[in-house]
This record gives sequence, C-alpha cells and structure tokens, in this order.
Amino acid sequence: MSTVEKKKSRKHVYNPEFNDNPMDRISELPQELLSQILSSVSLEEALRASAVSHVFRDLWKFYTGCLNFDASKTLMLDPERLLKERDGYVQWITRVLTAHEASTIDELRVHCDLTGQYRRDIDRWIGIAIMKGVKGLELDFTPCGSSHQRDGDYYRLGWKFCSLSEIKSLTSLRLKHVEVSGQVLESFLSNCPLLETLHVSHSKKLENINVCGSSLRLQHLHISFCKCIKRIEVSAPNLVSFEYGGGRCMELQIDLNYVPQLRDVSYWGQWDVTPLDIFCKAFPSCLATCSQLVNLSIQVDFIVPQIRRCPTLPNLRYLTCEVGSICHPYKEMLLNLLPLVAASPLLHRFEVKLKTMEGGVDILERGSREVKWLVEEVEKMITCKRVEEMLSLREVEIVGFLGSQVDTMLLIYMARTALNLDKIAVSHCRPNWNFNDSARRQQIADELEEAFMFVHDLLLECQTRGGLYFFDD
Amino acid sequence: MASTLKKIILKSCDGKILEVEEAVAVQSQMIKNMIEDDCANEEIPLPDITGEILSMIIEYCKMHVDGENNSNNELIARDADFITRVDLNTLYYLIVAANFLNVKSLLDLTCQRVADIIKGKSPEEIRLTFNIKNDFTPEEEEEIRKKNAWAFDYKD
Repeated sequence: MSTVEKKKSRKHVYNPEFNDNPMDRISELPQELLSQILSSVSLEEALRASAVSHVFRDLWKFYTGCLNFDASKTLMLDPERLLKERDGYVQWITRVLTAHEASTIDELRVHCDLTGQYRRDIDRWIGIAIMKGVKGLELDFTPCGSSHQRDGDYYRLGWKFCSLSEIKSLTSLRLKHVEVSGQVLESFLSNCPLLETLHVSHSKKLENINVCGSSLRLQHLHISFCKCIKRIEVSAPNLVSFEYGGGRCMELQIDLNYVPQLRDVSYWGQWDVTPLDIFCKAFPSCLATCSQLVNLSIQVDFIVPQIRRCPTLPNLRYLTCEVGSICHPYKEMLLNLLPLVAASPLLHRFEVKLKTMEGGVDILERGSREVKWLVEEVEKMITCKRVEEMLSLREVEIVGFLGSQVDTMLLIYMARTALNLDKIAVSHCRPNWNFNDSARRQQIADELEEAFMFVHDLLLECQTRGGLYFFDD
Repeated sequence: MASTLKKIILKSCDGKILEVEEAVAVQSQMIKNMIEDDCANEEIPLPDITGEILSMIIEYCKMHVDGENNSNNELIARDADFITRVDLNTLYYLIVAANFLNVKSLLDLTCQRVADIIKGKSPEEIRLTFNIKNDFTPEEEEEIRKKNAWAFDYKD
C-alpha cells in the first residue's frame, strides 16, 4: 500500500483518543445500558469509574460481570503491607458486596492470602453470592510469598451453604488453600445439579473424595497438592477431563470407575522421595476404564518407574510425557514410557519433554561408535520384545535432548518403529558440565559432536520414508 | 426473485423512507414482533432514528443475514471493521437505536465498543474522552476515591 493510500484509509478509523466529540452523550444513556457497558470492564475499573460524575457514581452497583477481588498484584507483593492492610482489604470486599444491588452475581472470585480468622467475612461473601445465584465461585487463599507460615488456620468451607436452595445455580467451584472435607464436597456435588467444574488444590486435610452419581453434570475434575489424599473415586457419566497433581501421595488410590466421556487426563507429581510404585499402582490401572481417552499428559520428577500391566488405550491420540531429571542409576527409565506408546494403537503424537538434567548422566563419550552400539541394543530389544511398528504415529518431538545414552536410545527406538512419521523434531539442550580439565571438556564436546552427526544421519535415513526432520542444536 | 421477497417499509425521523427485506428487518426483535402481530403492512415510523443511523443499522443487519453461513471469526472481523469506523457521537445514536429496535447483537457490539474505550482509563481520562463534566465537589470526589481506594491501587 502506498503512503497516500495509507493516509486515506487511516481517516476512516476513528481514534477515540482524538477528541472531536463536543457533547457528553454517554451520560444521557439509560442507566441499564450504562451498567451493561460497565459490566464489560473489570470490577476495579467499574469502581474507579464511580469517580467520573454523579451519573457514573452508582453504576457499579448493577455490575453483572465477574466480581473479582484480586490482591495478587497489589497487596500480596509486599508481605509487610499485607499484614498491615489486610483487615482493610477484607472490610472493603464486604462493603462492596453488601452495597452491590444487582439481583444476580455471575461469578465471585477472591484471590488473597486469607486465613480462618476472616471466617465471618468470607462466610458472608459466599452467602451473598449464593443467595444471588452465583454460577462461578473461586476462592484462592494462597499464602503470600514463599512462607507458608500463617497466623491462623486455613479457612474452612462448611456444610451450611449446601442447605441454601439458591446454590443449585453453581456451575463452577474452585478452591485453593481452603480447607474442605470430602463430605462437604460431596454435599456440593449433590446439591448443585449444574456443577460442571470442580477444582480443589492445597486442601490440607482432604482425605477421600467420592465423585459419584448417575446425574452428575461434572465435566472437569482437578485435584492437586492435597497432601493427605488417600482415595479419589469417580463415577461421573459426563466427566471429560481429569487432572491429578501432587506431592507425596504414598497411599493414593485413584478409581475412575465409570467415566465413559473421559477424553483428557493429566497426571503430574513432585516427588522428592521415590515412591517407585505409585505411578504404576495408582495410574495405569485406573486408565483401564478410560477407553475414550484421547489426551494423556504425564509429568514426573526424578524417575519413571516401570509400568506393569499397562491397559490398552484404544483411542489415545496425544501422549505428552514430561520428565524432570534423569540420572545414571535409572538410565533406562525413559524406555519405561514405551509400554504406554505400545498400548495406544491410534497414537498420533508423542512428545517427550526432558526438563532439567543433573550430573551423572551417561553422555555419549565415544562418539558414533557408541551410537552404533546403542542402535544394536535397541534393535535387539525390538526383536526380542516383538515390538509392532507404530503406523499411526505421525509426530514425535523430543524437547531438551541431551545426547545421553537414554535419550539417544529413545530416539533410535522411535526412528526404528514409527515408520509413518510426518515430523520428528528434536531440540537439543546444552548440558552444564563442570569439568575442571579443559582438555577433557573439549574431548567430550568433540565426541558428542560426532555422536550428533550420527544421530543426524539416522534422522536423514528416516527422511527417505517421507517425513520431515528437524535437528535443532 | 428479489421482487417476490416481502419488503418492510421504515421511515426515519427526518423523513427518509427505506425499503428493507423482511429477513433483514427481523433482525430487530421489535419489528419482528410487529410483523407477527400483523402491524407491519404499512410504513413503520421510527421517531428517534435519523436516516443516516437507520441506514447504518440496516447495513449491519444485512451484513449479518448475508454472513449467516460465514464462520464465527469472519463475522467478528466484520463486526470489528464496522464498529471501528464509527465515531463517538454516532456510537451513541447507534446504541439508542439498537436498544429501541432491539437488535441484540448490535447493542452488545456498541456497548462493548464503549467499554473498550473506557478500559484502562482513569476517571479524568474518561471525562476527557466523553466530554463528561465533573459535577462532584472536590470533597465528594475525594470521598469516593477513598471509599474505593483498593480499586485505585493498581499498576499498569
């Protein structure tokens, strides 16, 4: 477009910053239209607009957007200020909610470091929201900063709200750092027939949760960081996604008994100890009932235990595995992911993300000679396990590829068994080695270079089958 | 073919007569109700809507009827193109007219446009943009700001 044309077209675009509007028309609009307009900005902006003029002063009282009180970007940035000003903040929320005059509240969200000492106010907020038929309720009382030391107990969400008939409008309940028992959650589930989303995280005392009912609308269930959790039992005909994440969950048992619509499962953990069997005990067995599963995402820190008795996943298309750090004693553990791949005949995309790698990894120190040896190892493994070719698999991506024995083996395995690939993408991550001896460091770098050349050739060989290959180092 | 389609006749406050296909006219819930009540056989006078605004609304409704088979994204792009060409004065008359004629999608679009202009602005900037007179005494304004001090505690 020429400059002249550009200038011309710009004329048609009205620039609101350029004031050519001599009359105040906006204030003449009926109050309900002005309230509708203000309901499209954030609650804070609607409240700020009350200082514009008398016409604008009370418009926020009919605000129908999300009543969002978020202290995470203000008060919570400074722990000292939080301690000093939190009482005022809590009183302000109560004042806003009691002065709010609209007959309904769509969504109430409070994100602030709050403990049980504010129970009376918090109860009041929830009560007001429920009485006005709130659809989405989110309480995020995450402690400020890294310190989890609190001057009081967690806020405990009790039974009493479940007896209010207006609670039946609730479609989404999200709780973070809120104490809630399994029975109370079950009571919410049975009194809120429209509930579609339930998120519970960092609830310290939650032990058992039973999400069961033939008329449950529940579609999304997310449980994470509930450190006492022992059992999650689910029979939900409409459940589409399930996410579990957490810390040390030594005794955890997950039973997905009846989940005919389940498509997405995400499972992640932070294990500083090594509960070898948790993964295989709690997880694959519960997948046995998930025949509709399409997306499976697994993230584990430290190690991947061997998966015994992996169930068939007849509809799985996307498998993402994020592995924290791999180190020497578990060098074969990436290969432990392979039973999941083998159990998914329709798998389309397989992604492995290797996050941080610590010392002690067997890097390829003998260049291409070592890779040749690994190819033989993998070929032996394929023959002896009678691995079938994975003809549905179209995309493989390895992020954070280091050039260790184990990730190279995984790559060779994929190149040898996935024969219909459209794309294989490998992105390299340069390791941080602390060799004091610079000659030794150079030697390793050279060997690694040679090994990578070989891997590169291996990928080129795959290209003859019509795929696209990237080796990005 | 076109001649066999039923036409609705609309008359703006400044005397402009517009013939509109029924399919386009029923985008207005008000006109739709009139047709259903058999009150739309003669010209419909619209006392508060000028010919210019009425033409814009008809252009908008036509765009939505013609674009029925288009993807959602295409419609959103067309809406955005339509609304960004409108200045604040016209926007005001469009809101009033869309409200009167009950064209919900246009009312939502125009209100959203005003909200987008308000977004991120301080009270002073809002006054300046819309030419709103500050009718508070300094004490009144101070009190309102104090009452909602938490809402003014923000960083861009």
